Amino acid sequence: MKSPVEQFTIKTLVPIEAFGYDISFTNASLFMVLSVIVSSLFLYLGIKKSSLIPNRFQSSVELLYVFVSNMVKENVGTGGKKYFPFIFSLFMFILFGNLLGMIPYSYTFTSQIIVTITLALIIFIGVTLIALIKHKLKFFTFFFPSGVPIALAPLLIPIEIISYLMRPVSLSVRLFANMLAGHTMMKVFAGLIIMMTSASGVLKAGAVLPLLAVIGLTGLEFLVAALQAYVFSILTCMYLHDALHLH
Amino acid sequence: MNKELDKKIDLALSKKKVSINKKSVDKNFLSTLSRVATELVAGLIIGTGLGLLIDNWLETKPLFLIIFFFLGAFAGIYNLWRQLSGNGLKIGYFDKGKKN
Repeated sequence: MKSPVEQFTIKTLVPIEAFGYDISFTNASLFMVLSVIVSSLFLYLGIKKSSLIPNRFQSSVELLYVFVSNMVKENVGTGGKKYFPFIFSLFMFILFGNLLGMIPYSYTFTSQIIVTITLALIIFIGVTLIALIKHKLKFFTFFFPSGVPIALAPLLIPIEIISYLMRPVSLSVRLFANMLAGHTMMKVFAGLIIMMTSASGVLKAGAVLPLLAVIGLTGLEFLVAALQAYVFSILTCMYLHDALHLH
Repeated sequence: MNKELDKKIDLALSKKKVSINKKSVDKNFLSTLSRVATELVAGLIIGTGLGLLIDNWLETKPLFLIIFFFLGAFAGIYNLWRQLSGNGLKIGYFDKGKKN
């Protein structure tokens, strides 16, 4: 029987090497490309024949759009509108990546920390640059808010700097750990079914228990897939808000 | 008489505060739940990492590792409190009521 973590192995599909680096096209890259293509197709086909009274397909596209649009409006505040395309692309990329990973025999690229940390660092560096450009040196008051006694500065400033640096770590670890743990758990329970059915007697009948667990976990994983895409983009919105308005 | 009124105002204000905080937790209950654990872990990772970096730089092992480990742990808990008390993830938040 295959190990439950074997599903996360990266397989090279098209070997490419440039400047001494291995930049092969792998199964993870394939599903990233697929995520972009499928989400674009979904959005394009949904609004291709748009009518005033939308059918189900069109209205699901519109729901997603309005959902993210409201999220940006509520969490970024004024001046957030020009970042909407970025947030929406990010949301769709992660959502479709997570959901494509739910198809049997497919690959969940968000279960790789290198993918999530890259996304998180792009956001972190981008947001910091936006704040620096917008507020210049005033940005550093972010680490020492007004109204705090000066005596607290040696303690509070390191803590605030750590809090700031924590952002990309917690953002990436959250998505990666959720996907990794969920998919591993599903495989472990699925493996239990096979193990128990090959046993004899009472154990064989007991195989129905892990089967029920797998059914439940599959539902839970769909929830987690959507929820984590939401959490990732809403936190990006909050970071953007902090960058634009400081406090 | 005045004292009684003050008490009543305090009570009303505290009730109001609690209800606001509760609402913001309930609203995004699931997303808050999934944020809690990673916030603590991230604090420790960054704290320990920063401590090690400074130690390697100043050759003071393990002084800053120990200091930053605890600072990181505290930052994790501090951020968690900010989240759960309904102040979002705002860094630099400090009792806004004091300013007024």
